[in-house]
Amino acid sequence: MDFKKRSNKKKDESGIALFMVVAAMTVLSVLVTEFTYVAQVNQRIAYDGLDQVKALYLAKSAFKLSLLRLKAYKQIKDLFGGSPKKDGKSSGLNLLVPRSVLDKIWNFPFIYPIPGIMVTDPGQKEQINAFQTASGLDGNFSSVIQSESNKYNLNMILAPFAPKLEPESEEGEDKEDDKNDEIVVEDETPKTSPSPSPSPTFSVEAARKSLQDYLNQILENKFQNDEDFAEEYRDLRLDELVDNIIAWADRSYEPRSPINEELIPLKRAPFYSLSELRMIDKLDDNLFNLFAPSLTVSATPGINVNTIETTVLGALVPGINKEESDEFFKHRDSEIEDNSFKKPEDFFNYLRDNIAIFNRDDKEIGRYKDDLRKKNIRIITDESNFRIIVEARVNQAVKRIEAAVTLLGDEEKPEKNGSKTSAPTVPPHLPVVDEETFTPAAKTGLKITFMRVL
Amino acid sequence: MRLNCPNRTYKDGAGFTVLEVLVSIALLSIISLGIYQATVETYRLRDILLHEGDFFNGIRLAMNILDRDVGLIYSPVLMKPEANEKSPSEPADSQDIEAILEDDNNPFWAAAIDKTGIRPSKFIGSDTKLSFISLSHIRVYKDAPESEFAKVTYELQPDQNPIEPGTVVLVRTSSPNAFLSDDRKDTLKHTYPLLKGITQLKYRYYRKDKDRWENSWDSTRSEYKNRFPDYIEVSVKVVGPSRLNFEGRYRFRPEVPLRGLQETI
Repeated sequence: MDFKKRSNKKKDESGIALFMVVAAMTVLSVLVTEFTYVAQVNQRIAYDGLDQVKALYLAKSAFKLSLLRLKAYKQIKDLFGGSPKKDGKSSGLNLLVPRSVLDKIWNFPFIYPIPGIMVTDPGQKEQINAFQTASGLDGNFSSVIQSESNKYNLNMILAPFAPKLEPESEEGEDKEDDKNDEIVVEDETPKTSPSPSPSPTFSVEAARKSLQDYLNQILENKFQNDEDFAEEYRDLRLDELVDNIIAWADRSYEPRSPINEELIPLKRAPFYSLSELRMIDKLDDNLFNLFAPSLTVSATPGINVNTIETTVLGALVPGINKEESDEFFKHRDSEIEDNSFKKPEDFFNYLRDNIAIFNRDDKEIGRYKDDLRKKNIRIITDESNFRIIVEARVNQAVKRIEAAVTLLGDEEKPEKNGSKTSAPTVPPHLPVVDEETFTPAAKTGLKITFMRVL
Repeated sequence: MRLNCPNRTYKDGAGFTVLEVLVSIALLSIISLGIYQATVETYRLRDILLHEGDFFNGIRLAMNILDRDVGLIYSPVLMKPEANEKSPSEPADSQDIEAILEDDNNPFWAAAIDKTGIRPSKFIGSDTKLSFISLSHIRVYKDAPESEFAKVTYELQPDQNPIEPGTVVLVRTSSPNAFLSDDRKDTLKHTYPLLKGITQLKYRYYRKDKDRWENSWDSTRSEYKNRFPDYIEVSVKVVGPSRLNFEGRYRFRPEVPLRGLQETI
């Protein structure tokens, strides 16, 4: 019994050293952890700063690469007769290279590092790997170039930004050309510039109505496909909304109903950024998300039917049904043969022959063309306005560049000595700036009209 | 406890001698003091490290925000259409035209350059203050009536709780209500301190065509008409807690191609 008691007592006493050691270790562990954590946070922030810089320059490199692709596209298009000659005709060489192949120069998305799946040749794969290793580039980027002419230009309600419409006799001229020379294809690139002067027949009322009709068609199509949306926006007064949009951009416009300018006053000047739509009364996020993909503020020469998508086609051709719409894209984007529209007349012919509402009737198509003319909508088949979207990532740092770029025609370049050619030296929608400012863009043949780095 | 002393044996119930207790207390005190000092020193170093990190990160963050604002500076020069005297969209009221073409009182917008109402943004910079229109605004809330546009001002203000006497604070004021003329009516304006503890801050503006640095810039003056600086330099001296101090020079430039394609990229 005594022995047992003494033994227990010894056990109690022997624990104090362990307790002290454990306590000391705990305190030290907490301190070391704190220290390490703070140091790691600071190190992470510093490295993030470095990654941000790397990502920015990677994004700029990708942006330059995109501009290079556009430059290459322009030069090759010019080489193959894409740009009209002085007499307004192409050389006909563009028949040799399908438009879909040419367009791949700009519309093929580029990703770096180049995914292995895209390269089948082992030799090329090895070369690409060697290049990627030698480049020393950290991170990755993606670069997408989109057509900007496949949307409706919001600024078309203003005369200086309105596209020049074809003269009524154009159809006859086309036929004449085809008769004279079967190889020569009338290129529909505007003869003076990608965005020509305002039409002398421009009607501001027609332009405003055109915008309303266009938005109305998008809304109607959405109502048909989305019951919840239709329920929520059943009472939407589109005329009031369009009233607000026009009043925002056009200072000559007197709104039909008073606009609440207490919080956000009207800009009373052309749109520069599509995000300005968010400042317009009665246009909430859902409506913005619906309309924005079909609208642009770039000064486009018209709507490019070779790049339009479903929503715009639906708004452009009221009455087209889903099957016809699907068939349209299947036909246009066929990989078996080049079915892209070479001139607007091809598009109208396709509509006449394949869309039920036109009844294969030339008169119906004629009425449709008149309607487009009244709405100030011009159909084009060549792309000259692009949107570049670049995203570069280095670890957690992401940089994004978004820019709108316009291809300049040869005749738009001002001559250095100040003498001018007979054609307009500057496209009407582009800035009339001093020669020093304009020269670099004229040299490259590209003009950035909007750019945002985030 | 077993002491390593072969000559002594412990009887039941016997305790430590006074000497043993004193020695053990002394040892415990020394060890505790050591741990305490180590703890205090560690916390002090941790505080220094935290403050140092916050101090330099604060400067970096402030300069990043300024960099972004300057990088996305807005100019309508990219979209100005050709003047069209017979424009059908011409305002019916000729007085209205005159008003927009002559209205130069707005601190952020110059008079319209044509009848469509396109107005160049102003860039006003002194050695301690900057104001301009930037496309740097980021919208956060759903359905908020905000675009990419923002009126931005950077200025120095007295610090209510200075880190050290005599230091000032760099304040950023921005408003997404970019097209509002009367600043006093602006309810969306937001002001916040960007960088505290500034003992010295100076802006300079580089003009490439003249190859010289300017101490001020006013895009409404004839010599700078509708021009923005090619570079903006910020020289800053900042003090922080724990006698931290920083002296640096930053250069920013508009990323938007205001002066042509080649110079931007």
